Amino acid sequence: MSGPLLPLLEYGASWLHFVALVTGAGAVLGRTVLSSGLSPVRRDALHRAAGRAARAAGMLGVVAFAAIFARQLVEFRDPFAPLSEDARLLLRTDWGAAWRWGSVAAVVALAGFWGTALGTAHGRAHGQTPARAPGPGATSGGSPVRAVGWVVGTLGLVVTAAYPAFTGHAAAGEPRAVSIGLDVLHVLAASVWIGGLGMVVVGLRASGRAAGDGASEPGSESTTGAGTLPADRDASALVHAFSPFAMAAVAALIVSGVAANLRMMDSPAVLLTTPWGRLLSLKLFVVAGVLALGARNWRRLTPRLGTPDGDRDMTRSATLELVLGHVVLVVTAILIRTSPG
Amino acid sequence: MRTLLLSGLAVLLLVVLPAAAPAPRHFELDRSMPGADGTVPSLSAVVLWFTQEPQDDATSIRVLDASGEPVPSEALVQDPVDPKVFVLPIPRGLEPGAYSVAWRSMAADGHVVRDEFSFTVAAAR
Repeated sequence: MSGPLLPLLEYGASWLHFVALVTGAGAVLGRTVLSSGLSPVRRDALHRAAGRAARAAGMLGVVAFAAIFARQLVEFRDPFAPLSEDARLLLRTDWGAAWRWGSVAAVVALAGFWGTALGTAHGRAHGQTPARAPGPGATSGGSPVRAVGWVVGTLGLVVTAAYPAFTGHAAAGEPRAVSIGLDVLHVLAASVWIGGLGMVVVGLRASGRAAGDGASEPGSESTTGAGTLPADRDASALVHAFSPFAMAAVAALIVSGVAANLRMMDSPAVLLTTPWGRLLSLKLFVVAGVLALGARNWRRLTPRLGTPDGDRDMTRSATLELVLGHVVLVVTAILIRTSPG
Repeated sequence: MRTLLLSGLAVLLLVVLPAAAPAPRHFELDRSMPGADGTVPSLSAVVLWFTQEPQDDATSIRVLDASGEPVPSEALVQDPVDPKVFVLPIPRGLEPGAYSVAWRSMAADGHVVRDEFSFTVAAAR
């Protein structure tokens, strides 16, 4: 590939898909487990944020699959054959089959996640009052359309998470079932971890703003050395709800990542001697930083949650962890397009 | 909780790592007939040997003359015995001169690989 925009398409398409996956996974976690222990107002706020994130993820997913096809077609192009023939041939390959069901799943995810918004509109049009959401555009409540939308969207998202395994390095591994299984596990675990962290950051920042406005729930104030300040039990509830998922996801990431990459390495020397190895080393370096930050957050900052300083420090640290997590996604998008040979 | 997670991690690694056999060599052109930069007295077919079996319907081979135009050829044939081998018959043969072979294929992992090499058909003495 050549030209200034083509490298962007080369790596940007995969990156866009990863962003769609983590955003969608975060939305699903935010809608379900992360919001469970929050006060009603914060729960509804997180539900609204999750709904917006899910719809954005649905759109990003469809755009990503379109970009992935464009990228593959540009690379596949035979200058002596008509473009339409190349496109037809491309769809007849194993890659084409995986892309077809991946893109159908992306459209299903889009329809499902946008169905959650239709459910909201449908409920309001029929005079249903959202159970706990006082504001316009609230997505809480029990509309069956909305519930089905979340289920359909989540199923579509999970299927698209399998796409990289069937069209990447894992597809060439033996035994194929183990290789693909490890890759799917890796992508799902990364989506849960980084996506969930994203929703935690959204929740923490919203809590911080509310605390700054003095809008904490009744009974959630505490006296500190600096006087009476609005404390926030919701921040603690949010972090504690996410922690088991984060730990399980990190464990799955380590197991699947170590096993999958060992399968592609002839020797540890490739970590320094090949472009693929150097990219993997960079990814491992950033991942180590994210893990260290996550461990610090859990050990030192979690016990301080509920105090204004503790909540603020956790918000800052979790935001940095999230940014580093997205750096890992960028490096991974380049890594999967680089030959390990 | 942490001990439980660490134990689970160790068990999973013990289970998964034995299955982590090294991956085969990456998809690339192993050799060709005619060879790159080689000279042949005549040519009735181009044969390419890849290191792995490519995806179906993804391989294309063109023989280009000195002006970059494709020379007439028959349909590409994949060896039924060794699917890593592809043959492009050139029924009318080639006039003496410089040529190149431009090929493109797709590995099992979806990577599109393409390259080209030159060869010469020598003038008859």
